[in-house]
Amino acid sequence: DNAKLRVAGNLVATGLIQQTKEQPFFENFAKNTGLPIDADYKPMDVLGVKDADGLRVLKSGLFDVVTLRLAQVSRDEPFFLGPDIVGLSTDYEVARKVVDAYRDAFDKRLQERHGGKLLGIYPFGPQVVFCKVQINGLADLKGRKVRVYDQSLAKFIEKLGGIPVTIPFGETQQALERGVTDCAITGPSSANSAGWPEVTTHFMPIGFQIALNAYAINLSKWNAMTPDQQAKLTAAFRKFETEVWAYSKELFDDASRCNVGKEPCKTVKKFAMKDVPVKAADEQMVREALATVSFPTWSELCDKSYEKCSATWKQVVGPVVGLK
Amino acid sequence: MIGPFEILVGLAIMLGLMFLGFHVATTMLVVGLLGALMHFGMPAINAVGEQLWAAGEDYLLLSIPLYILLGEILMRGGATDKMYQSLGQWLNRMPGGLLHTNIGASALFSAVSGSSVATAATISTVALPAFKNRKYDQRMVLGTIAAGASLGNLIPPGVAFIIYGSMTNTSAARLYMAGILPGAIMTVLFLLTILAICVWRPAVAGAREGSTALGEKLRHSVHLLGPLAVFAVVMGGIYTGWATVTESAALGVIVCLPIAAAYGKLNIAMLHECFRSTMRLTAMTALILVAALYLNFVLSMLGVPQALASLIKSADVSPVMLLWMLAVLYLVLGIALETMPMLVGTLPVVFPIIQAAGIDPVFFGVFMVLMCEISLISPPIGMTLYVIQGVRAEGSINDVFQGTLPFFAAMIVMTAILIHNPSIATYLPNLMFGK
Amino acid sequence: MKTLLPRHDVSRALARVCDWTVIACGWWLIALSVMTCVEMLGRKLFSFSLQGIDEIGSYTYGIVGAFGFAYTLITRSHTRVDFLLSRFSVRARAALNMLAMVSLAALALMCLWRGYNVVVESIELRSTAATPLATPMWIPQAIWLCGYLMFALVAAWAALDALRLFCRGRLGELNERFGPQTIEEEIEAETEVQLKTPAAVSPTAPMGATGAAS
Ligand code: NA
Ligand code: NA
Repeated sequence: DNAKLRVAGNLVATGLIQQTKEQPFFENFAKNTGLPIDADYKPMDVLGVKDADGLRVLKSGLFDVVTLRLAQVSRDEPFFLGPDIVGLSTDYEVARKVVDAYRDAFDKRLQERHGGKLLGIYPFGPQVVFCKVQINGLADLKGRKVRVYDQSLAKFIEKLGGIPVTIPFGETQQALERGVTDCAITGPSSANSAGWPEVTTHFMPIGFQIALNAYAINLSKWNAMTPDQQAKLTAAFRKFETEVWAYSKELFDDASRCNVGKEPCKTVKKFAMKDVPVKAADEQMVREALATVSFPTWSELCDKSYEKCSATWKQVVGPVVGLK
Repeated sequence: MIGPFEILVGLAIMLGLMFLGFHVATTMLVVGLLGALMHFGMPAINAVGEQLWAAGEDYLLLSIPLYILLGEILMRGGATDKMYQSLGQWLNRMPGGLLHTNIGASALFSAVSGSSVATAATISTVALPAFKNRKYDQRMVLGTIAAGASLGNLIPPGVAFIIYGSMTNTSAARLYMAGILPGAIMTVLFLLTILAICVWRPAVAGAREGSTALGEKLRHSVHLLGPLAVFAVVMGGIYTGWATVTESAALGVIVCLPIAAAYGKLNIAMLHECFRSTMRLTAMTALILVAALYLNFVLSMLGVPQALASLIKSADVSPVMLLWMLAVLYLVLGIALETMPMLVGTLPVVFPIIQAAGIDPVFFGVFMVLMCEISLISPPIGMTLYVIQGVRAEGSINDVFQGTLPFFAAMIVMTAILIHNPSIATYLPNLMFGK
Repeated sequence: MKTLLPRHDVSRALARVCDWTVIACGWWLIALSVMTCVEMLGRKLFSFSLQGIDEIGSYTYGIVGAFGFAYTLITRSHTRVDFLLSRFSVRARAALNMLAMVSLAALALMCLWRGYNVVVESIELRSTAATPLATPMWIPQAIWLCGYLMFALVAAWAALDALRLFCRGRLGELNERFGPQTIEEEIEAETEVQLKTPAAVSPTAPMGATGAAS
């Protein structure tokens, strides 16, 4: 009989990556890893475990492998939001470099502080703008209500002159329809599934963040494995991670096309939103926000919980984006 | 991971402890902790803290105390009392007289209050004195109050909708819209039930009331405006996009204050009484909710809901058949259970089945709330029945059951109507918010 | 309304604190409602937004519920099923009432212990909400824990008393105070109508609906 690992997976509500990549990977765990281990895989929303508690259930040993939604677990560990603060990982290429540069520091912190070992990191994809009012660029968000989901994004919207409003994801479609908010930010695929394109008119594929998720294994489980087993597990997750990165980009491109009515459109519903092209000035604004808004906001908070936080960030990520 | 035998043993322990008079929350926590200890050891026990905190951290749930408070302010402010009198003038000429007022007043009050228990309490407060010395059949009086109270959650706003929405990630605003038509049909069914009984047996309705002049009636109808205004503000706020569900509850609370003031009843002492009552009802619900959520967490870890869902999926029944099976299940459960344990106790198991069968979650929310309301008037456990039993304070409980029986039958008819015409639930939300 | 606490200075102090917290929670709900309305009107009419009302609101249900637990216990309103219980002998009823109270107290203490752990962990991790307010999590959680502390204190005090009564064989008194609310009490609690004493149905009572049909 195979040994069992208890796995808390990503929310079913997050859609295709969870359904078509994560779940099959864990359900065929023995085959995928070549180890005599089965995974007892259940998504966190099915379990009734809040995603913000990811680090706590990992450390307590309640689960052996946990999907960490970095934006949510950053409540307990702001350092883990480091590779995904607003304006940093705006597309897949940059995100890949940032994640690779951050990986060791992330793992070190995870081991020291949360009793976990990092197995992989993947993105959901760039978080983009949906509006029900006409916009030609980011500057047009001035005076508009924009649904945001975290602090640095709120600060950024404020800097643009917009009014950040916080609404739970599930209520946002209606909030848009009824005008509680004018614009909202999320991934193109999940927005499509939640029906946002039905109630909005303008789609601007500019990335603010890339919504990272990580996999971690409980450290004592990890240490109980032989070096050979550890190597096999690492290799399997590496392969899986690469696959998910590619799939995530595919999904993003496809959903972006679907939203504005272009072909090919395979994964989600086709709509005819107006495609707002991203101009150099918009990209410039987002990049500037990194240095002037999101890094200072984040590092102030992060340094309080980890004194080497911003120093580490500057050391590993600084060179990638040219920030000192 | 867990066999059917173990599931049955767990269920037996829970129901056994419940019937031995242990607190409902205790029985759920004990079974949850036992399961956790046997299968997962200390980490699952240690997770109790996170689960308790996470259970309450939800903006939507804030609307529960707000809707209860809103109803308390209206009742203690005297608005409900006047509303009852005014409705009485309009409805007492029908065969059945004042009995219709109980249903009408409950329906109106339900449109501002989110709780069936609060509705039962309020309407019995204002209605019971009116029946003194009027020679109505007591069973019918109490039966109509119980039936009326079961509109409390079905007609929006409703605490059960909020909890359902929060547990299944279904939009509360859509659920509210979905509740309106079934709530109205239910009200009409209740009125027809009274009418039928009173035509068949005029004796139950006491003497015909004298009529009131139309002008007097109209003048008195100003008392209907308060509750209607609150309903318009709460529902209108949601519909026009001024407010989310929780915000509109807060708006409703604020609107109630001047109404209570207009009746000259608004003062600090009265508000403090409202607070005490609100906190009591909120905490009663909250303790069961947190205990049930922990039990659900353990059940999900054990894979019970998924196992049952795949079992039913493999049986391959049609959605209508599935709903009838669930209806029977809930009628049986409703005998033993109160609204809250029934809703939060079964949803994690049942909802995956519903999703697998392709049933609209908004429609199913209405179905679930209807099932909860039936459990409220099915003996022996149900707050509404305590009210009935207590008012009698004599004779056999069988008389009380007889009083609610016709309305129980009306609710079964309603269940059939809903199952076979799901569009009465989905029509309004789809119209208002798009598919 | 009848309380389950024994006549004692400690009981009076506990009851007073509970009542006070319940009133405070009520005012907090009113204050939050006012702020919500300001936020809503501001957002709609003047394009400004009080950041964080929804965040504060999201902590409120948990906190308000926790503070209500103790008060609800004192007023004997936590849900129990007395269908079978009322059919048992005095002795069996006393034993069950005592066990129900003791087990509830044990659970309250366990919740307090685990809840304490949540707060400690939030302090150790310096957890901060990832929201515009960036609330340090220990603040709402500590307030929430105070509710559980009150609940545990009241429950433990009551459980000790129930045990004392049981050991001394004062079963009648035990059943009287620790039994489920009788139906009359329950209605009285919800409606303020005293059903068995017609005297209470006076014109000054809150439900003088006698002119309903006139
Ligand atoms: Na209602
Ligand atoms: Na029942």
